[in-house]
Amino acid sequence: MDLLNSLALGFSVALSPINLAYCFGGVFVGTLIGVLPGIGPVAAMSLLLPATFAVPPESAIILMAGVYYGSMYGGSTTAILVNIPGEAASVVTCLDGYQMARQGRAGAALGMAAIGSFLAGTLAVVGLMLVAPTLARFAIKFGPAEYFSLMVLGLSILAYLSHGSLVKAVIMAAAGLILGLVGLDSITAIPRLTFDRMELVDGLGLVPIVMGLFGVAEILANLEQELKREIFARRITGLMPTRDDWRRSAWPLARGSVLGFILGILPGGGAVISSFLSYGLEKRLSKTPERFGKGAIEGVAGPEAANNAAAGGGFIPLMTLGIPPNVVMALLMGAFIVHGLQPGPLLMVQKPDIFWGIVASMYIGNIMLLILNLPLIGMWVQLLKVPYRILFPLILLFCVIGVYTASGAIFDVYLMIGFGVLGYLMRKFGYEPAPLVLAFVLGPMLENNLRKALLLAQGDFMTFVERPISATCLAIAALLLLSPLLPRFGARRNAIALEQS
Amino acid sequence: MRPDLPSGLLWLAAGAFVAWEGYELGLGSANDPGSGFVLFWVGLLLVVLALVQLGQALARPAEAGIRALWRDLHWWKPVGAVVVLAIYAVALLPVGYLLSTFAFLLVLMLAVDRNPPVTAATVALSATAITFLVFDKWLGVGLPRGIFYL
Repeated sequence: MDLLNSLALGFSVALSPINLAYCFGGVFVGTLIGVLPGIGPVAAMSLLLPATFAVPPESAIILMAGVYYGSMYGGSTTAILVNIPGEAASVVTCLDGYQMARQGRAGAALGMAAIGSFLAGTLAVVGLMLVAPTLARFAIKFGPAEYFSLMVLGLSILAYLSHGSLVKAVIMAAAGLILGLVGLDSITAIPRLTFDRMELVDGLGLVPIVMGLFGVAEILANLEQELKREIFARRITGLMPTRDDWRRSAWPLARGSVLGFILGILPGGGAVISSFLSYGLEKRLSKTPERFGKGAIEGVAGPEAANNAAAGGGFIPLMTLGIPPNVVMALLMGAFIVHGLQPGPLLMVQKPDIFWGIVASMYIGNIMLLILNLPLIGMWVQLLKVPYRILFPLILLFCVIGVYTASGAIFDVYLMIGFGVLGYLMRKFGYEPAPLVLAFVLGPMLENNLRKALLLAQGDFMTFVERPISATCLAIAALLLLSPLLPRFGARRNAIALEQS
Repeated sequence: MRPDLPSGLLWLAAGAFVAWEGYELGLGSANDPGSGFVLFWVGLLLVVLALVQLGQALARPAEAGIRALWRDLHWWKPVGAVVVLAIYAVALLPVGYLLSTFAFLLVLMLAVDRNPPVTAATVALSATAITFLVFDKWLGVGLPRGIFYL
């Protein structure tokens, strides 16, 4: 009953005309971002953040959240029609979705992706609604030691799941931690790594770093190679999957939803990993694995359900623990803080209208996405015909505007360009930017909790292993980071990396 | 040269510098950690990781060098885009949004990636005007006016 009352409160917030408009705006921009290769949800959300300064906090979060789960829908469109994933979570959709398009079944693939995304997204919101209150009550018991260990675990999982060298992933996390500590020490107010520059006293901005590493770097990487875009289906027909398609896809949809939701909750999991694992799982369980990669609809249904469920699941650690599990959620956390909100176990108690308003808006957003995606496929196809040589200057311009308007400082634009070059070189040399960004966001919190825990324990480091939750988190983190030395775990990580490549 | 060697050396230098900065700031004590405590230990961790990476790079058989990372690619395009972007950032405040943005888009579309001049000019002009109207006039974000007050 309490849950129903909360949900009723949420819908009263989400159904207000202004929030409906922001929800629609968010999912529309999200779909657009997903469709357009070269700009992902992270860069898009950074771009929109300054535009939300003047709006109420719940509207701003509803808009930003809509961009995120909307991009999961849109990403499948380019993957299926052009064999270019609109964003990273749709990479795996290319494998069978594009083959279906080549066989004249683009409509069924797009329809399954949209309907599967809707079902999984809605299930994830139900899960969020049921799990979040319990987890928030549990999280109130957390002290600084638990928070510190949980953040260490989050970074460790992200590093473990990163593609390529584990050493490089941990280097990125360490670099992110250092960047996060630039500016005044929050306890002693001593400037650190500021090099006597006033611009650095407040620390580095999240927006220029994210825009540089994910927006500018992506464009630089795309520029150096010829992006061949051949649209196989210029007129999309038959969007409803056949009875046989449904029969084949029912279990992949269910499994993908559950897998995605669980991985979304885990720090470092996220939509990308869940879509790859879902594809691997379906191929392994299939009686006809040889069909995969040749147009198997299960290869579209499972991963698309997984990435959308993960997008919903990712809200749980952010809204109940105040810990972002991935880069997108780190950015959303920035939006919460900018609007004077502190995500965490008390959010539900202190601001129930905002918490439940966001949850309710996700139900509505998923319905909007279904309406947007199926009838408007033709419009997205038209958009895909815009050549990249015209798109990339515009995306670069939006990056500059986004960064400049966020702070009004040209220094941040220089910073973005610097991080853009760094991000481009990082890609070249096999370093992933995600651990760096997450560590950058968690850095100050991690340091504060470490220092608080030591102050409370009077300098006894044993406090981290004497407390059960903290000890468990640290033990799992150690196991993951030492996995290259443990053949079984190392092999598992390599298998995930191989599936991704 | 193996690609992991220069990057490993860079992280080694960065880690050493950060650890030194942390030490200079003061480590404090275990029951009252100082401003440099976390910086020092994270810097040291970076040094260790960089050494591991260098060790791995040296232990591996010689592979394709750094040049191979740019083989068969239009490497001049990202370089050109960064140069144009940097000039745009420098010119934005003194020249103003309208003029510098129009020039920025035009040069990108003509020099970095070849577009027909009419298309480039049309896109540059309309994108500059639309973004100015949306961000400056509608959203109220103060875009730079520059010396010509444009």
